Amino acid sequence: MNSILYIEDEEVKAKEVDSFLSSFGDVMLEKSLNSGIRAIRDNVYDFILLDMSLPLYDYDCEYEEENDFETFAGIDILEELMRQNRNDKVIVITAFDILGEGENEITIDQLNSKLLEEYKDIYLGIIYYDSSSLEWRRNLKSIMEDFV
Amino acid sequence: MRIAKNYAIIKVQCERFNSTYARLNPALGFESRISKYISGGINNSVDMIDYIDQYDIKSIFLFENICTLDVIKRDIRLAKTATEASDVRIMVLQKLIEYNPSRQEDYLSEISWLTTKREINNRIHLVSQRKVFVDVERIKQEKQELFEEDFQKYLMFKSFNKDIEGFDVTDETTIFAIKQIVNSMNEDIKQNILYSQTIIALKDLIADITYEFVHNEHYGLDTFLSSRIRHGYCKSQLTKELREFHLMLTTLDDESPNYNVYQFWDDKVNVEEENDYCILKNSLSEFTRSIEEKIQEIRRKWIRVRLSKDEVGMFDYTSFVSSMLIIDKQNIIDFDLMYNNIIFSLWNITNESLSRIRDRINTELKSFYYEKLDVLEYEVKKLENSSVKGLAQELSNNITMCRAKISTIMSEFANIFYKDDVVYEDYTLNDLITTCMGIEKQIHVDFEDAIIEANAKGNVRLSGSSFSYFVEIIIMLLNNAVSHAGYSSMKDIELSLNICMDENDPTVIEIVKALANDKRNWMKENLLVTTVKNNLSPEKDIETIRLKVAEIFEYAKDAQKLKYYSTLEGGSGLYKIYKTINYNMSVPYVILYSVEEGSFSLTLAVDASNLITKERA
Repeated sequence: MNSILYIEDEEVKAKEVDSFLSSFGDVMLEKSLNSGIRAIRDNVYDFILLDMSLPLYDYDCEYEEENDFETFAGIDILEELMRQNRNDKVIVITAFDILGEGENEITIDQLNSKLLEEYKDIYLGIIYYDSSSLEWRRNLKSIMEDFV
Repeated sequence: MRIAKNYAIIKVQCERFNSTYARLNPALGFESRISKYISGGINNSVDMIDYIDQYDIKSIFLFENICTLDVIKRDIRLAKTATEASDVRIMVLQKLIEYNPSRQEDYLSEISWLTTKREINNRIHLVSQRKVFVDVERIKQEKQELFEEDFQKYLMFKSFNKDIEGFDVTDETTIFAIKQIVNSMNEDIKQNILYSQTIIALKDLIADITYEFVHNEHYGLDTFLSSRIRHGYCKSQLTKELREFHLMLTTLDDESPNYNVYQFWDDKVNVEEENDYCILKNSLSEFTRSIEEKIQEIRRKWIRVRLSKDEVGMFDYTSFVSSMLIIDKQNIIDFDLMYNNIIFSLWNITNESLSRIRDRINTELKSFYYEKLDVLEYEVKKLENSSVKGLAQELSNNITMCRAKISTIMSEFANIFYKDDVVYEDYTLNDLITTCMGIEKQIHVDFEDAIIEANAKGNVRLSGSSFSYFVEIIIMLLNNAVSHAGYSSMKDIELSLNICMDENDPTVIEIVKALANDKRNWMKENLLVTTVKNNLSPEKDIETIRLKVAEIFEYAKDAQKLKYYSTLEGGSGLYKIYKTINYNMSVPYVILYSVEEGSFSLTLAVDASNLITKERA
């Protein structure tokens, strides 16, 4: 069985993706950048699935004003994995087709290219999640099966 | 990796590290973390401080610029929660006081801000985790330089001889009066070049603040709407029950317009039922498409900010800047006050937008859902005598159950469109004392070495909305007392804090007597009196202090003069009290002081009649 860490703050999306992932292995769900990094420090995983944009802390733990929302939280997680020389494979799954604002705006295709370039040893790809389509399931399955 | 030995390299890296642009724009390189600069073997904040301690003078730079609260919050080795992060930052600041005593006041002020904020946050009721939130304080911090520059430009052009009497735009009596003022302003703009420059500068300031309120990439409204509502929540909230009851189909891929896939129903159908099933599926497909399109419309046209006329969105700020120019008539010379007033008006207009969105959800959107469910039910019922009658009946039941939930779905969705207002717990005078003493102990590590007397007198509960303001004022008074007493060691300081709301208390009676000739009728039963008293070092020249304080209080009679003299030692504190009480609390008050041989005391008396929530026990 694969061990999978899934870091996602959106409840409904988490439920749906979690149920899809359960056929691939044991899934551990975390809800923020902070809890995600803690999980990474505590365990090694075959796959890490993560939403690119995450709150700094779990919503139920912190007062809103203290809880920053990190548009590129996923990059911090990739950085932490690189810092630890880890080999866990990372897949990003996001409902945003464009991330950032104004001059910092980036499409998920551009982001994918950048991530492939910067984290080629651990990064497997990005999935655009749209609950009304089956495509994300197909793409996710394909990336995971290709790797396995 | 060890910390780079070359100072210049560290500086360049730190600049990159702290640059939000670099952090958010992957094209410029991803943000590094503190781990880039600090090697392994650092498991906690104590390790980090010991490690950086080895770097002498560079430590100041590292502690000040690298070990900031924002960075600490993001490194779980250093802190697992926001509270822990603030503890570590306080530890860092205490180290900085040791290394760089010349900036002790700045460091103490940050410690004070951190601890006060934390204590105040502890008294907040969490109403909801998902309400509309714009972090206007952090926007102000981030863009302070730009806003101040705009504001100074405005002040440079502004003539205070003109319309010198202030005009309170929040107290508008009639639309007619406002129109007259606007007309007169327009006339002046045409005829007076200097006035026209003033208005252009004011327009720039309002436009910049509005833009950041709406579009600041970290703390602005649109970032909140995008990350917390438009992406994810909006769709999941508006489809979760429909999916739960299997009323929505999916497409094969993201680009396909055909909603024709659903394993749940497909599995229940035999080959001979295919034709009727196709009809049923078409109805479900049509239903799904209409819901999906509506959700797209909500995401693209409702929950959007409209700053210019060519944009679409229900958060409409297109007329805000021009409508706000009337603030010029208030003759504001204080930046904080100007910022607060503009933000206040921005929230007013945002609240109107939120109300319109809630109404639209509870009426138009709700009706739309009912209507589409009715159409689907009608189509499904047509098949109740067909080969897929079992399936049609199951669907009919699901539609009925789902219909019963529409109202809840809509009100849950509408309820996130409120401003995220915090609600503070009501408090007693003892709560105030305990909180302030707790904060002081965190600000000054050796605070308990001082001889301290703290008393609360009066059984009264005050409205939570005033708590943070009182705490800020008292902390400022206590900090001033500690720093101006003239002693280097806390052991020599004698400090007293008395908060009293008791009509029989001699101090209260005395103050009311002293105010007998005041045009305002001060009632002793409503008077909340706070006194902070400290001893003065024998080295302090009492006469000099007396003259200085008298001078500051003389300026205090005129807010504009006070602002200009707020840079004097002691003057800034008084100006802060003036602003907090006038603009945040809006209660009548008097400040009294006494300089005697060996001691200084300051008394703040406020009319707390509007702050009392419960009668005395």
